[in-house]
Amino acid sequence: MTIRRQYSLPNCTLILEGLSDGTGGNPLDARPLITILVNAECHFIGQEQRLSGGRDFFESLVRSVNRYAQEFLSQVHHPRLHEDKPELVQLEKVKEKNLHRLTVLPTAEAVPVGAGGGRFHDSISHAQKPQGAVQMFLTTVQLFDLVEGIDQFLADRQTLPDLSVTLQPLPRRYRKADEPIAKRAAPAALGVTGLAVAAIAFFLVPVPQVREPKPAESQANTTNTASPSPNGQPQAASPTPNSTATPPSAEDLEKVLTSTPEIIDPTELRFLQRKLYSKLDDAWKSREQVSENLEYRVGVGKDGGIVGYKPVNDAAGGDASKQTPLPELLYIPATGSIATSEPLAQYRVVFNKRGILQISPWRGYAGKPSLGPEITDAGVIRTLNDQLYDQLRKEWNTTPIYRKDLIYRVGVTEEGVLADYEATNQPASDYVQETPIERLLKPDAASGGQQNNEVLPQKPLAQFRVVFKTNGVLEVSPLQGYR
Amino acid sequence: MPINSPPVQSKPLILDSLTDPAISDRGCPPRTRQQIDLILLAIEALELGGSEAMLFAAHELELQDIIKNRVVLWRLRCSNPLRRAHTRRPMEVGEAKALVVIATHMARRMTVLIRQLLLAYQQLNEKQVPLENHFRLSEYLERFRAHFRSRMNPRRAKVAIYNSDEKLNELAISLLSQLLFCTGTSGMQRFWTSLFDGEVA
Repeated sequence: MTIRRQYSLPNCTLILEGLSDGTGGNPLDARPLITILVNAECHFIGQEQRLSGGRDFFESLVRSVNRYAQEFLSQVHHPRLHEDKPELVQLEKVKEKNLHRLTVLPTAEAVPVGAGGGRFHDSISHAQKPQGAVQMFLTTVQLFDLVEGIDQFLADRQTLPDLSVTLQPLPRRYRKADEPIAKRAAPAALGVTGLAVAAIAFFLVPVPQVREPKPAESQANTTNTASPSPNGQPQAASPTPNSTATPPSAEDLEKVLTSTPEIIDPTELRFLQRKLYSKLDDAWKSREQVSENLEYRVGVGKDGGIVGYKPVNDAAGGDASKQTPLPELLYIPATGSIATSEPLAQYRVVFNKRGILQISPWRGYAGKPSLGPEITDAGVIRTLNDQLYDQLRKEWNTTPIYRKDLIYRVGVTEEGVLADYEATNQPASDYVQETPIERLLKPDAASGGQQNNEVLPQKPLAQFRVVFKTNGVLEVSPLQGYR
Repeated sequence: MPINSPPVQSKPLILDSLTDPAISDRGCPPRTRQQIDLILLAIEALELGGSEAMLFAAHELELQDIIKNRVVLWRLRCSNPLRRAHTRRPMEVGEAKALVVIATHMARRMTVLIRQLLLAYQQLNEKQVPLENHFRLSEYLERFRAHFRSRMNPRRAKVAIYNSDEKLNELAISLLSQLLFCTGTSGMQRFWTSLFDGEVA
């Protein structure tokens, strides 16, 4: 007696008819075991053609569908291995149409004719439908229903339990490169060209001259005489007598500024500006000595170090720079000239006669500065918000001595480490020592573990508004609200 | 489904239904991490509040020992090399399995919607009607594009190729088809295996 099994999906029906050989299972079972397949049939809704065949057809269908499903999911082509005869059932992608071509070869043709069998298979993807073959186009949903019908059959251990497939990933050695050779060669070609360009560029660069450090006294003389002349290029930096290397002069800075790339990214400019401000503001002690506004053009490296400066107004020339913290903060490279390879950011720095420091980018901002890469996931922000609150609350137990609320913007890494902050109002910057912010700050946490000393955070930060109220209340909220 | 297994298991049983791929100890290869994050992105585009639902699903499936909270989930997703907030943190095989189990679980619940959208896409394509005419489909595509653009790093070459709405739509549809395959009887195993195609020894 034939037993019929049907696997119905919305778009595809798979019908298997077979016999039980009576050896396995209980014959009185409601679902007796099918061990011999007589006929397999497969048809799709909306398609006239029905596919049917014996065990060879069905085995091939299972194999091909299994392989094609994996190809479809991974988009990695699976080469056919260890098979010299073409599959009875073949599936191919129809490009640009989102369709899948299912081809069933007539049984006679599937038998390899001499050595031509393999070649025949290769040509089939390009050729039109081979004679006698059945061909149909399936949509993705139809294809899925076919896969699902077969998976249901495979999961059904009462039907042909000897037929199974193994799901395993394709080994690396069979993966074809995704890109054509020209594309793959492009980076290498670029590299070679780049090397050639670099070689030419280095050829043009003059061999650096070793400069003897000048005696300090004569240096002091020249600066003194240079200061009153407004048309000459005044010497910007006066070295301390014990310094071994000559600090870069204004001319050097000028040269460097024209030859090195400039940092113009508004975000980075803003970060460097803040760093420069806190550095200079901390170091500027003798504020009452400044009787006129001193204006400088200052070049800052990526790490926030001051690599050169140049007076802008007359008052700032000559010895005036000694009243500012610029000479002591100047980064003096061992070779005596400015480190030239680094990109520089330029600022206008004004030491105001009333003792106020003002810094702005030399060329202004090219756009709106952002706060660097940001964590935007509302859930993560909520968790970090609570974490930051607890952290600050635990550390903040002094009685407020200030009259106004202190408002800060605080950036926190995903681990909850405080990596960046900025005072939002004046009292906040004046009384920062009254808060635990400085103690908890770990600017390195945001640098992404790289050794480049960049000021700009490499890791995304979640930004919060933190308010230390005069009545001892602490408020932490996401800077942008919950999005 | 071993969902109802006793919770005392040190390792959730459900993960055993996925085989261990023959990869190095350094965790999952970049393509695996990328695909997992993208499929989750597609789920988020299908379902509002998708990331909350993922955490809920982790709880339901007793995977909360692996996906402890949203920070862990977010960090795992940031192991996708295409992300703006990409972290070099490795993704363990167990973590990848947990995410795949969650993704397929959620896909199964959305089977009807996924089928409808794919059928609609096919029909609109055949009739050459713009996709915007189907409200639900265009909503999905729009959300997917917005998610992708806000989270992926445009300076990466692999992201830069998705520079138009059309290309992002194609990606969104391809991910939707993958989600459809995830809903099947062996969908979870099939999706899992495909993640390591061409990556194993």
